Amino acid sequence: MAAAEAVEVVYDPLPVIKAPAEGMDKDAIQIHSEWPNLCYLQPQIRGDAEAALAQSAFVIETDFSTQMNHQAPLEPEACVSYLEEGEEGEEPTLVVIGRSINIHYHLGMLQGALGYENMRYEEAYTGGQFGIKIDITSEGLAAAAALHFQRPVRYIPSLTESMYLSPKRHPFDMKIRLGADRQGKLTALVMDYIVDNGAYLSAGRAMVFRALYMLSGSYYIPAVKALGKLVYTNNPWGSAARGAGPPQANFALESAMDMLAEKVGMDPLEFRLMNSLTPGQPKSTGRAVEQWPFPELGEAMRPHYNRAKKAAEEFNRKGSQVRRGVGLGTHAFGISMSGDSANVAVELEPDGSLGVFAAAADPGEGNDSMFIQIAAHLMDLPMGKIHLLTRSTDRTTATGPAAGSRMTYMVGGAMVDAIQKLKSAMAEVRATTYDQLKAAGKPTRYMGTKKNQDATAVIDPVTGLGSSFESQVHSIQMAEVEVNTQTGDVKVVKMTTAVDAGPVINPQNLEGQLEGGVDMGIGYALREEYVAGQTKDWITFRFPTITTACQMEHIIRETPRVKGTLGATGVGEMTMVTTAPAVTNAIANACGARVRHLPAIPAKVLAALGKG
Amino acid sequence: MGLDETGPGTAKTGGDSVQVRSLGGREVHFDSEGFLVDASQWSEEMTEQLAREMGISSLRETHWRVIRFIREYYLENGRAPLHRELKKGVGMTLMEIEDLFPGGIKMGARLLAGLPNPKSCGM
Repeated sequence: MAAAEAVEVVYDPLPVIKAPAEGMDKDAIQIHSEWPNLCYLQPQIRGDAEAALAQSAFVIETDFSTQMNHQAPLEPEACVSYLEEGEEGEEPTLVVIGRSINIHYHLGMLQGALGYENMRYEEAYTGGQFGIKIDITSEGLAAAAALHFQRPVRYIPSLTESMYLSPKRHPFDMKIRLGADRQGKLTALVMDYIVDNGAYLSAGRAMVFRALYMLSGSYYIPAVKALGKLVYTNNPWGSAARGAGPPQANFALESAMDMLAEKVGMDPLEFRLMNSLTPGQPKSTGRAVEQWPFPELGEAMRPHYNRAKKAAEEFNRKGSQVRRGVGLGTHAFGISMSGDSANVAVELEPDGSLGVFAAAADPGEGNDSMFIQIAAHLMDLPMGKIHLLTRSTDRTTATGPAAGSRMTYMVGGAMVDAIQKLKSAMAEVRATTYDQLKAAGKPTRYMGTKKNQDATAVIDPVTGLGSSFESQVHSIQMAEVEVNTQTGDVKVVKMTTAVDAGPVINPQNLEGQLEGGVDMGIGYALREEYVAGQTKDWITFRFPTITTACQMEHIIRETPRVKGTLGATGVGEMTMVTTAPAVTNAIANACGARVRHLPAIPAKVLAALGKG
Repeated sequence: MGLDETGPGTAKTGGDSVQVRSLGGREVHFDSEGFLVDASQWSEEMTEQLAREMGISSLRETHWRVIRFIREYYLENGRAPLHRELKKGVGMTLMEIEDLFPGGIKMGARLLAGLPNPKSCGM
């Protein structure tokens, strides 16, 4: 102790880069020696957007920003690691039980980090994760300790520790110009956005290009000029968070759409429907779409929208300091990125049941029920006869992460392919049982695959054009809010969500996703922000409670997707992408306060009213 | 700041880089570390050439035993075999297998067997 006390530590603090603009300054300290602070950038250029804007009758030019946010998973990092004795002469197996949503990938990371190959990763039963579990943290510590001390290790950080060590949703700073002609047709979009990557790289590059892939949202925009930049700062590191890029970029686009509709003199719903993409037209990536059931969704929303506008008018006749408003947000959220692929094995078992083998995590999304329902339906078996083996690296296919809303579309699709191969084999030899299939000399195990149509394509580095998401889930959300113009408080009265994700597999799971996503989106719009050093728990994070909940209504349309899994695509992230712009558009509609920088806390609402 | 103000070579652009090569008369796509982007593009013919580029002058029977076992295991199970499964499957020690491939099992044998890059996240 005396020696320790004799040590005098002298700190020489380096400058702290708190914002991307500081990181890009020519005199800024380079955070990582191998990368410049501006570590990644990607343009997207289609047509001559500058010329189109110059000739536009109406142009909106403004800026928006979104905040750093915590994904708020159901439980913090938690893991167990231990050594399991192997067969004679074999080194023991290092077992890690954690909450990864991509167990084979993370197993490989741990093997490399520890220099120990004989490992197994098991996914524990975990709850909603909203992207945070695309990175592992505590697993590395627990596994290293178990290997070093040769004894079981459990590591569960506190909530505060978990918030300190885990990645966050990337903040975006966005400058946007959006134009329309005299008839209200969109002419061009120019958008520059800067992504605060924080101090370490995880999924930062994906934020940049995912935002570009979905930049034009629900609309046909003839000319596009965009530039996304990813910049290192000394802030908490950013990573996947529900939606991952589009919730940020779409907040800017959908806010600008309302502002432009007002300038053109059109109703916001009519303006959006008038500018909908139609089959055969290209998204901002230049890729033409086959299906686009957005206008039908808008028509389904119309009677609800008319009802809400009438209710707001009646409410506002009272002349109170509380004003009611109605706002819309839309999006076409992409599913299955270029290069995506999935594989699933199925095996007919002697008792006639079916085993499904795939590392397909289910962190509260309903993936298990999706697999079981589809398999039981296709095999004409009771659901109890479908056995999922999805949680251990020893027995599963490596089929990618439970991320990007891809599980139903990609992994579900691979399972359908595997079952079809099994059924074809059974039909070929007229077998109806395991014994008959075996007796005919046919295998009982089949591998199914699903690949994105652009299996090998990548985004063009110069134009940002080319490959894109293969499928889209469409949504329109309508917020009805009441704004206290004296205090700036905003109360969301009701959220109505119209969504088309193809045929519904499990109505309860769909509603759960929609309602949870809306609640998350309202928090993103109005309250939540992760402030390093200050946000330590759910109270300081301003997590939703029952007092912030609102009435919700859902309008479900089920347009079968040509390449969908039994016609279905995904929905898990879509549900919060449109909420923030719907809420802030409703605030503007209520009282004229345009909040451009999330979250729309009372002080910002008052400032937008000129009362700050 | 415009795109041209960032300076040449200061920041990376584009998605993950993919190299397109003509092998055996058809286009084959590789990632930046030489792994196939699409595992179904693998063929035994291309493997000989890739092995030479890896520093293996000629693939012997022992090489092929390992490559074919890994390939068949992958097609059956959708993942690479564990080391203990590989040892048992080819009847060699880990050291013997590692010595056969300059990149070892993970970055050598798996690459020649046309498996995905173990560093890719799988989507």
